[in-house]
Amino acid sequence: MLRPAYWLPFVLLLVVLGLGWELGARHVPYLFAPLGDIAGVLTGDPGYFVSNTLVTLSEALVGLGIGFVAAFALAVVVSEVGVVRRAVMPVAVVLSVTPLVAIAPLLVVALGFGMAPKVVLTALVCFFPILINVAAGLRAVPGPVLQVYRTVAASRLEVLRHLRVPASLPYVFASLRIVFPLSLIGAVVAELSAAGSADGLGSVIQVASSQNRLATVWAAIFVLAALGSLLFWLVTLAERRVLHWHES
Amino acid sequence: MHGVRRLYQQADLTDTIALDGIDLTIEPGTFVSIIGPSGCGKSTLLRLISGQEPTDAGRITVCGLTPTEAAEAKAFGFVPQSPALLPWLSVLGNVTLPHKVNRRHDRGLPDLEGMLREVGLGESIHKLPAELSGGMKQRTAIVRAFGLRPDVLLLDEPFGALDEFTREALQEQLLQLWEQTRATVVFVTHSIAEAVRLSDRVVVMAPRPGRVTDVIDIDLPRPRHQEVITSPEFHAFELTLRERLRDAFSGSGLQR
Ligand SMILES: Nc1ncnc2c1ncn2[C@@H]1O[C@H](COP(=O)(O)OP(=O)(O)OP(=O)(O)O)[C@@H](O)[C@H]1O
Ligand SMILES: [Mg+2]
Repeated sequence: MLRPAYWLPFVLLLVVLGLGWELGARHVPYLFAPLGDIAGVLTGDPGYFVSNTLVTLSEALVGLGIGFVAAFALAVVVSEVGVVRRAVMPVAVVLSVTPLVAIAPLLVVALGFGMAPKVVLTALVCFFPILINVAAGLRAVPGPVLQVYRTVAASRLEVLRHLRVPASLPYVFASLRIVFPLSLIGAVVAELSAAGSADGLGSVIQVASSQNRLATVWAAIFVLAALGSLLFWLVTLAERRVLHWHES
Repeated sequence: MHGVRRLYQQADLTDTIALDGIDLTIEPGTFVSIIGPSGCGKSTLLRLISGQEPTDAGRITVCGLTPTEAAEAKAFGFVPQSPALLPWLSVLGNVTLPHKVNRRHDRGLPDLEGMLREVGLGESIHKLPAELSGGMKQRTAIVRAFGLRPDVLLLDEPFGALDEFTREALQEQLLQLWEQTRATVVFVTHSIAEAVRLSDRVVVMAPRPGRVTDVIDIDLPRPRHQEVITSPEFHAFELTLRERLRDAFSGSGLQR
């Protein structure tokens, strides 16, 4: 068991935040809903939240999957071909700091109200952080190591497979820790932009806030927070498994 | 090597002459050390021999092949200054991996575990590099190179980062492995005593441009046990080498 010195500060903060929240709910009722109401909404119709969570989660994960495969493939090309690297990387850096979620409304117009714009937006926001990290990781093999393997005439494919890809794994996980939460943002923003026409927690928030059902809005946000934390935790867990050789 | 020359273009587009007019013959099966001031092109020479970089003039032949062909035939083992182990592979994994690349020309797996035991890594075969001391890592790197059964072993200051005792123990083990395989060894070092202790021949180099200024035959008997190392002959070789090196250094404009 952990000593109180570890969990007590956190629990205390939680209590303070809870009290502050209740105070806020009393004085700014158009922004906060009482915690009791939020819990009531969640327990009142858990199936509603579960099904909408699954919709958002699947949009996020499918988008992330597509973004990951595409970004990894391009990262390999970028790390192997200098010309491509010098062309692509400056653009990638600019786009990775651009809030790409802003194009959500355009994607909805172009791709309709189905799953497509959500998946595309999620893939897009995940793409550049993965590309930049993995491209750096694939080039993180120290010079002397490369020289040892070039001295035995290892082919580029062998260098890629035996040296570059394993060396990139810490970078892959660093990018996943950024991109898993980001994928939820992508999916939710796309849902918010799709004006209440489909399922998903973003749509729940959109509809409920237009009808002034604050407790539902907050319930959906709390579910998203929990979901994001869960994904982050899963990445960290997988990282510990795979990267037991890595110091950090 | 005949008239070997290597240029590097600098940022201001002028050329540095890293090596010029290198004429050197290394007899198969001998242990040759290269010693010289920093920047005289020792590492560059190893890269040229192993075909990592082309020469700008002159010719290098390794066992009748060009350096690139020799590398393709897995004629080389290379031990860099840093151990350059892969942190995700065990000691055994690290010494095995070179056999899994360029398989067509591999010379077969020797008893790698036996070799590791021989250099005192028997207990550490399944450990990760992060769990090893500096000396153990360098031993792993040496076994990785010898395990390839190369014709030519290239070592670039492999013991530079080690303390005196570890260094001597590793010199001993290097000689043992060499006696067994009788590969040709090209050994870059900064230590005069190390060069005299290990080598059949010592090549002295000077910088600007990188060139060979002396080749000294060390005809001391082998194995070179303590009595040889403390003998007046050994000391005389050290003094000669020190003198030749001083000339090389004075030409380099460096303070020691
Ligand atoms: N890739 C490179 N690009 C440009 N210049 C280089 C390169 N490699 C080496 N040089 C230059 O060539 C010369 C010889 O370098 P080299 O590394 O071979 O010296 P060295 O004898 O190994 O030195 P040290 O004992 O410090 O390792 C130096 O002047 C160095 O600046
Ligand atoms: Mg060097």
